[in-house]
Parts: sequence; C-alpha cells; structure tokens
Amino acid sequence: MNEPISSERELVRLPVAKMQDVLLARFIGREEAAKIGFPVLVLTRISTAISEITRNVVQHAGQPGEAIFSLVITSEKNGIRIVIEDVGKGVEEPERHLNNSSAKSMGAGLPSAHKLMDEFHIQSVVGQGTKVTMIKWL
Amino acid sequence: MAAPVFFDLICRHLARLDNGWLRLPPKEPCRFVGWMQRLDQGKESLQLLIGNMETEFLELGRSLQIMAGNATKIQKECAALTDLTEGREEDAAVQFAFQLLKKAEDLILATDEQYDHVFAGFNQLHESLRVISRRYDQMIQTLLPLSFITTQLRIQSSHHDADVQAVFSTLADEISLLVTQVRTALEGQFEDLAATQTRTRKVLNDLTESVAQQKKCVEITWGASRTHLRQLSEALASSGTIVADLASVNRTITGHIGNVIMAQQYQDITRQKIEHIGEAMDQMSMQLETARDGQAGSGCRAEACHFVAKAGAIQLKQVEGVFAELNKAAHDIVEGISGILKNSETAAQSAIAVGDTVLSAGVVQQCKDSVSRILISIRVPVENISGIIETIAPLQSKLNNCTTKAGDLALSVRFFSLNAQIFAAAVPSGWALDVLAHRMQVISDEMILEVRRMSDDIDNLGATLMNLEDRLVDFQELGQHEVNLLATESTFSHNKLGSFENLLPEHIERLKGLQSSFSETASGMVSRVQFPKIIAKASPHSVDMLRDLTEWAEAQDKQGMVASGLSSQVDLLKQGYTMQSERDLHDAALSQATEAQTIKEDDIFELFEAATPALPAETNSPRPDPATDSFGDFELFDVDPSPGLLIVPVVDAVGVLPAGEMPPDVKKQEDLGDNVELF
Repeated sequence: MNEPISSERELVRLPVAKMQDVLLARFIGREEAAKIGFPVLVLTRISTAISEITRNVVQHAGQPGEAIFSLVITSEKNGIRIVIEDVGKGVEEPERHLNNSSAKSMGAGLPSAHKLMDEFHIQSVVGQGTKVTMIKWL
Repeated sequence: MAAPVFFDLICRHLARLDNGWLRLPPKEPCRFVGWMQRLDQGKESLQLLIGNMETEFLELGRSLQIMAGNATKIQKECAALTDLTEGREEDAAVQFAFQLLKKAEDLILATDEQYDHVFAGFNQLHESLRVISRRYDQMIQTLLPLSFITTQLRIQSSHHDADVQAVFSTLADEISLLVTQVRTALEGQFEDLAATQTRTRKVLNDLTESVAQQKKCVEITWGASRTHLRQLSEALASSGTIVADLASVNRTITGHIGNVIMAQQYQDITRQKIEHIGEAMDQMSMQLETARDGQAGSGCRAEACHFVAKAGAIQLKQVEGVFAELNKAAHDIVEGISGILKNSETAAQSAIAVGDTVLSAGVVQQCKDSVSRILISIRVPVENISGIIETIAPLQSKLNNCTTKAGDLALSVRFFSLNAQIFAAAVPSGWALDVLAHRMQVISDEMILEVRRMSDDIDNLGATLMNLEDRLVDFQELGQHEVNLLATESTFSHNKLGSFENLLPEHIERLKGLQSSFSETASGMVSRVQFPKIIAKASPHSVDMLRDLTEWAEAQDKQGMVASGLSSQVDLLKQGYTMQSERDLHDAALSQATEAQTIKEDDIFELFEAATPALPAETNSPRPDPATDSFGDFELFDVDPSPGLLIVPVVDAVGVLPAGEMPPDVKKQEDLGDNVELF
C-alpha cells in the first residue's frame, strides 16, 4: 500500500508537442530529479520513463500535451512525481498495454516506463486524452 | 433314574478325557526350542536388515543433502540466468540498448525538426535577400540623378563669381566622390551579400543533401541496430524459455529429492516397528520357553500357545505391513533417484542449449557495434546544426553592415543638400542653385526612405535569422547535452552488453558444473542403493517364519479350546452331583456292578445320545458348542502336525499364570478326579 503524500510542490511545467519537447522534458526531468538527490543510474531510469511517455504524446496523441514535474514528500521519503497528459486520441484499456513485454515489444513505451518507475497509473478515455502519473521514490 | 444318568455321563467324559489326553503324543520340548531358535533368528534377521538400512540411509541422506544443496544452487543459477536473458531487470542490457536506440531516435527526430526550421529560415533569407537586392537597385536608381545634379551645379555656378563657382564645384566634387565611394562600398557589400546568398543556398542544398544522406544512413544503421537488438532479444527470449524449462526440470528434481527424503522417513518408523516386533518376539520366545518347561496338559502350556498364537498373528500382520512399507519406500527411493538422474541429464542438455542459442549467434557483439554506430550517427546532425549557426552569424553581420552603409550615404546626401541650399540662399539670383539643392534634398529623402525600407527588411531578416540562430543554439546545447548523455549511456549499454556477454557463459559453465556434479551424485546413489534387494531377501524369511509359528500356535490353541470344552462339561457334572446322587449311585453300583462292568463303549454312546436331553434343567449350564465339541471322532488329534500337541484348559485368552500355580479349571478337574476315585 502506498504511503499518503503529505506535501507536494510543483517544480516545472512544460509543453509536449514536438520531439524537441521530448528531449527538453527528459532533460528538465533529469535535472529536477538530480536536484532532489537521485543517483545517476536512477536519473537515467527517470529520464527514460519521461522519454517513453512524452514520445507517445508527440507520436500518437495527435494533440499537444503537458508535462508537470512535482516534488512529493511523505513522512518517510521524498520523490518526484511526473504527470504527462494530453487531450488527444486516448487508448482503449490502457492497463492492457502495461504488461505487454514480448520480445518484439522490447523497450516499448508503457511497459518499459512501468518497470522503471516505482508507481505508475494511467487513465485514458478514447477521444478525450490520456493522463499518466509516475512516481519515483528516493 | 438320575444317578445312572450322571454316572453314565461321568463315565463317558472320563472315557473322552482318556481318549484325548491320555492318547496325546508325548511331550516334545525340542519343538519349542526349535521355534524359539527360529524366533531369535527372525529377530536377528530383522535387526540386521534395519542396521544395514540405517547405514545405507545415512549414506543416502548425505548424498541427498549434497544433491539438495546442488539443486538449490541450480535453481538460483537458473533464476539469475532467466533474469539475465529475459531482461526482467529494469536495466537489463537489451532493454537498455533498445531505450538508448529510441532516445537517439528522439534526438534525430528533434534534429529533423530543427532542420525544418533551418530550411524555413533559409527560404525566408533568400526571399528577404531578393527584396533587399531589389531595394538596393531602387536605391541606386534613386542616386543616379545626383550625377546629373552635380553637373548642373557646376554649370549653374559658372554664371556666378569665382568664389561661388569654387564652393559649388567643391560641393559637386564631394557629392560625386561620396556617391562613388558609397556606391562602390554598397556594391561590394551587396555583391558579398549576393555571394553569401549563393553560399547559403549552396549550404542549404548541401544540408538538404546531407540530411537526406544522413537520414538514409541513420535508417540503415538503425534498421541494422534494431534487427540486431531484436535478434538478441528473441534469442534471449527463446533461451529464457529454455531456462524456464530448466527451472521447471529442477523443480521436478527438487520434488523427487523431497519424495526420496519422505521415503527415507519410513526408515525411522520401520525401525521403531521392528523394535516392537523384536520385543514381541522376545515375549513369544519366553512363552515358548515356559511351555517347554511346563508339563504336558498343564495350563501354562495352553496359555503360552494361546499367547503365541495371538501375538504371532498380530506380529505377522505387523511384519507384513513393515515389509509393504519398506517395499514402497524402496520403490519411491529408486524411482525418485532415477527421476533425479533423468531430469538432471535433461537439465544439462537445456543449459547447453541456452549457451548455443545466445552465444553462437554472436548477436551480442553485433549489438555492441550497433550501439557505437548509433552514437556516431547522432553526432552528425548536431554538428550540422553548429555549421548552420556558423553560416548564419556572419550573414547577419553583413546585412547590418549594408544597412549602415546605405544609411550613411543617405545622411551624407541630405547633409550635402542642406549645404547646397544654404550656399544657394547666400548667392544673389541663385534660384537655379536653390532648385538643384532642393532636388538633392528630395533625392536624399527618397534614399533615406529606401534605406529605411531596406533596413526594415534587413532587420526582419536579421530577427528571423537571430531567432533561428537562437533556436539552433538552444537546440545545439540541448543536443550536445543529449549526445553526451547518450554517449555515457552508450558506454553503459556497451558495458552491460559486454558484461552480459561475459556473464552468460559464466552462468552456463557454473550450471553445467553443478549439473555434472549433480548427475555424478545421482549416479553414485543409484549404484549404491542395495536395500531393496536386502528387503526382498529378508521379507519372505521373516514373514514365513511368523506365519508358520502362528499357524502352529493357533492349532495348539484350538486343541486347548477343545480340552477346555470337555473340562466345562465335567464341571457341569460335578455341579449336578449331590449326596443323594452319591447314595443312589452307590446303591445302583452295588446292584448293577456286574452289568456296569460289561457295558461296551458303543452302548455307552447310545445311552449318551439318549441321555443328553435329560440333563437337569436347574443346572443352567450352557450347552456345549457343537462346532468345537465334535464328539464321536478325534480328528483334531489325528491331524495335529505340531511338535508338542497338548490339550489343556485355558483360563484366559492371553493371561499367563505364575509358575507352579494351577488354573482353576484344572483344579476343578482334579476335584472331579477325586470324586471319580470314590467310585
């Protein structure tokens, strides 16, 4: 069971519309996570997860999105929360895509990001958009 | 009537006792000794069996311990190998390489977006340069009348005095010089601009071509990289399946080991049971000893036989049960060990298959090469962006230079026109000079206007270029950062693949070693297992001995029961025998003594048949069981195969009387005997 978050502070909000935004989002995400104190290997995991989800927005959503980075604090630990949402096409049964890890889909977006982060939630409505919330705890 | 009947009955039973007991075979103590010896041998045989089994099971237990340890290690190795090959770890080598590839792809796609901006910017640049060029031409056209005006100034000043001529001549010369100088400078600038335009066009063309080539190269490189990574991934997935099978086989092996260990538990239970059987055998032996030492027909013998019969039947069942369990245990152990051996061979083959699948393909090395090529391919577009920035930056400076020069020219012309107007105002009747000066002002105004327009165009172009440059500089910075990160990750990925390449054979070698040691232990176990043979050999010996003993003792016991029936009937007679009967009997004996002496046995029998229903009802004695009371013949005695056949009254089914004490029934018989002596 996840521990309740006692405090949250928004760090930065970025548009996600072009591939350059993907690079920027993962760059900023990495920088912000580094400020929180994550080690280098974890920074790579975080930036990879951001990259996977923002790329999905640029390549599949069909509409611009937004990435919001926040510092989250519980009584015992700190972490970074990354919310990436768009108002694009959306997907049916998003949870189904989370565990698709066959050989052909190695390194695929959702399963890969799911593996790399500590918490991962996806909400999507076809025609209304998708919202992915990920947390990595320090 | 009563006295003769009782007398007859007594006579008849005494005759039976005489026929039964007195005709018994003589006491045969050697038969008891024989059974005692066989019991001892049986006990020893069972103890030897359990002792041998204990030794063998200890050895088996040690081997199983080694095998269980090996099986655990194999399970761990399989789990590690599965994690390694299936990419379960979050930073698994292949997944990491795939992600690197995708990140590099992001960079290339983002660079493509920048190229699009560059192309758009350059198109705008060319359009702007064309407009500026047009404006330059217009400006030159605007300046053309100045040469005509300077000529007119000289002509018109010639109508005035020498001073005026000198002033206007100097003014005309300065204007001509300025126009010439500025025009030359502007022409140079615009020629340079045109050359820059040509160069940028060439850069653009080169860039377009380069981007196309680069795209093609990237596509080929990345296509190959994807193929290699996918091949590796598929190879790993298939080897992962094999490893999963291997793990399943090992689970089966562990199951077999568990079964063998479970089967081994029988040994403890069996040992306890055999100890109990041994104790029971001792007791049976003691009873037989008592029987051997007792007199034939005594109660203790009957009792001992009864005990042996009952205990023998129980122990026979126990021994049969023990051997059934041992046989099952032996079967389970042999089957378990065979299963272990068979599965360990399968597992070893699977381990080799894993190695063949991944290592022989050589895809790991290809993937490592791909990662290096990806890194090279992402550097080129970022370097191209730097080249474009280097081209744009001087272009902007040149454009600014042009605007400055043109502005300077316009201001100078305006300055000269003002001077001309001042001088013209000072010259009497100098209206013609004034017109020319005014005309110069108009030209300078038009020129200023053209310069301002051109300057605006140049400023717009400059802003566009600056925007493009800023964007490219930002991207270059981001791209460079990304390239550096990817370079780090690429090194990491390279190392991970390398480590994977090294670790995989290590795991496989360790696995092979473990499997080999496992098979060796299992084979050794199979070759050392002897107890099924010992059990098979010991089983009939012990079971047969107990069966024979039980049968013999049961037969003894049965005969004892017959004797006990007879004893009960004598007891009944005793109970019904009163003093009046004694007197009647005495009287009858006196009067019929002779007749009584001549009674034949057959007649007595007839009398008995007739007299039986006439038993006194008040005795309430149970009628003898016809099944056990087979009067009229003595088959039981005739077929007796036992070594010391005795018919003794039985007091208790299992009880043993103390030495020297007589059972109560025997005592009653002796009382009756005393009475009989009275006759």
